[in-house]
Amino acid sequence: MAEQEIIVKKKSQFRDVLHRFLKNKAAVISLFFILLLIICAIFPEQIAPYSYSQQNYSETFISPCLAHPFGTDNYGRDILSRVIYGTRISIGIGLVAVALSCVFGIVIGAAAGFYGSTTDNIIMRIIDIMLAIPSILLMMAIVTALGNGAVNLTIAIAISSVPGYARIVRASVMTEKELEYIEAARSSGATDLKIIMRHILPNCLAPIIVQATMSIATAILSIASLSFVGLGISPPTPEWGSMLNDAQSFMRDHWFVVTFPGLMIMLTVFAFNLLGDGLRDALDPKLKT
Amino acid sequence: MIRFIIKRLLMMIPVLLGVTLVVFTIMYFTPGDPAQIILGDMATEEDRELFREEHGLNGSFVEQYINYMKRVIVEGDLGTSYTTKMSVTKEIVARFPTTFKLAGVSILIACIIGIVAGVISATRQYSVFDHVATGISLIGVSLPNFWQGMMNIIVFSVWLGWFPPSGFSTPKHWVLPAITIGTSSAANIMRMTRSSMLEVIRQDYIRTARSKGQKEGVVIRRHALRNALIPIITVVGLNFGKLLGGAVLTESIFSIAGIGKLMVDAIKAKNTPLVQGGVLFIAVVMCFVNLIVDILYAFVDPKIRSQYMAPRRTAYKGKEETNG
Repeated sequence: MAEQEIIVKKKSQFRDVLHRFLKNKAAVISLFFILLLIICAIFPEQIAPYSYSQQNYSETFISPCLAHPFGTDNYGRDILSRVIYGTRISIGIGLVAVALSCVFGIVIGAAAGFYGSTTDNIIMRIIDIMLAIPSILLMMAIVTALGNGAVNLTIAIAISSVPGYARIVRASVMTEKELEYIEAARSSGATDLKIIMRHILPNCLAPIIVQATMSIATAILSIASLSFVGLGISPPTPEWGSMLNDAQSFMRDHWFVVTFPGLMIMLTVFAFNLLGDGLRDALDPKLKT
Repeated sequence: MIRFIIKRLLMMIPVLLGVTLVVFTIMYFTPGDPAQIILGDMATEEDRELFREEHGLNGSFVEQYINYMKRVIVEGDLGTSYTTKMSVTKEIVARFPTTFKLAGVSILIACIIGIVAGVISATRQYSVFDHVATGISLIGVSLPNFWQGMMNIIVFSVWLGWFPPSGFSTPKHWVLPAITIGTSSAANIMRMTRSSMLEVIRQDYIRTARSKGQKEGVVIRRHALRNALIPIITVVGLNFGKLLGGAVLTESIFSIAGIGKLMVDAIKAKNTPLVQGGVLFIAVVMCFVNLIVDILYAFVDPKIRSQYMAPRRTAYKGKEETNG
């Protein structure tokens, strides 16, 4: 009987959140846009009209038209196709980097928040140090040290976004661990690990989910910025930032070569930010302003 | 107050030491021999050996780090740039005024736009203005600023011919880079102003002020905005610090010789002394901006001022605050 009640309650809470989320039209639209991007990232061959590397020197710098809706670049490659293939890098690396930093951030933040005193002090000072270095410079230095490539780019972005998670998790764990049910769990003989994993973290999920969504947006911006300075993804792999870098010298004569890749970055980041806002309002209506 | 400032200055030391260690470690493990990169293929092994000797590149990791820190702390010498052979300090000092000017102009524009828009949005919540302003601010934080810089050049410089596309000599040159860099700060400030104001506006003392017949403008300015200022100052400080660290990509796009461009070039060229010196400098600047923000809190909020003034209570209260 008691078990049944709990299940019913859980379901209704999820429904509550879902209901609040669905009422936010902007967030729902951005969720669909993100799903579309994920489909593009998984099946670019089926969706893109041309191959990303197919060069055609008789068709360079064609303005947007029916055959090439986003125009063509200096090698006569179709920009729309390259933009579609570019989702693989931005979405792929963005998701993996955020997952990595999320895990590390949660571990570090939970340890700092739960154990407090010396552990907290040491961890927070290290985080202060990382925050004192501008993240773009930190990422650039890490990629330079490790070498170009998708994996190293992911590592650099993951490392530089760990402090954000750690701080948020630490703050939530600190408030949560003082509550009575934690004391109850402890008195029933639960270990620290069990208390953190089973009791504290599930109750801190809302801010973590919101932070994760927002930091995918930041990660996508970082990937583009690093590729723009020539670090990270090497040509001819299409990536939005490196497309902008390649096109920079032609932008004065051909506006479309830089407009569309940049627009895609903006729309994607915008969608993740909107989704994050929507999730925050749905998960924690108290925060809604 | 002075005690508070001294305490904060002392707390900067371990952070800055940590920063040098992190940057030193990353640069140490960056592949490529600087002697080889700087001197080129024509140099003999002896030349390279001499170069390493000169720049303290021999010895183990720990020895090199200790030597570097000794030079920095004892002599205040950040080393010599590999590429220009100028002292790192001179290079940074030469570039900083440009970055400072750019950051100052940008943050000023961002503050005016952000705070005004945020206050109007909050006082007319859910109005058309509010929806448009919050929408634009969300676009503002989503714009990659290097792309925005390019689009600004295309529209305002190539198509309309209003502003020059590069350089930083006259105020006319400042407009495009300042707008480019200021956009995301303005958006951040606007969002924070809006949410902070909304929280304050619902308080009882605002209702009291209104009910005693105070003019709406005065209620907003003197009662609401003043109490909503703390988070706004925090965001302004954070953004200003970030801008002083150099708008890394924007400076490259507009060919502005500031700290940001200096750092990008240095990292790419594996110009280790310049990278280390530059990052250390940026970290110091950021720490000082944070300190100034904390001091500003005291001017805005008498409660915080009294905490700074009474050191014994500060220690206890400060601890409690960080725990919460």
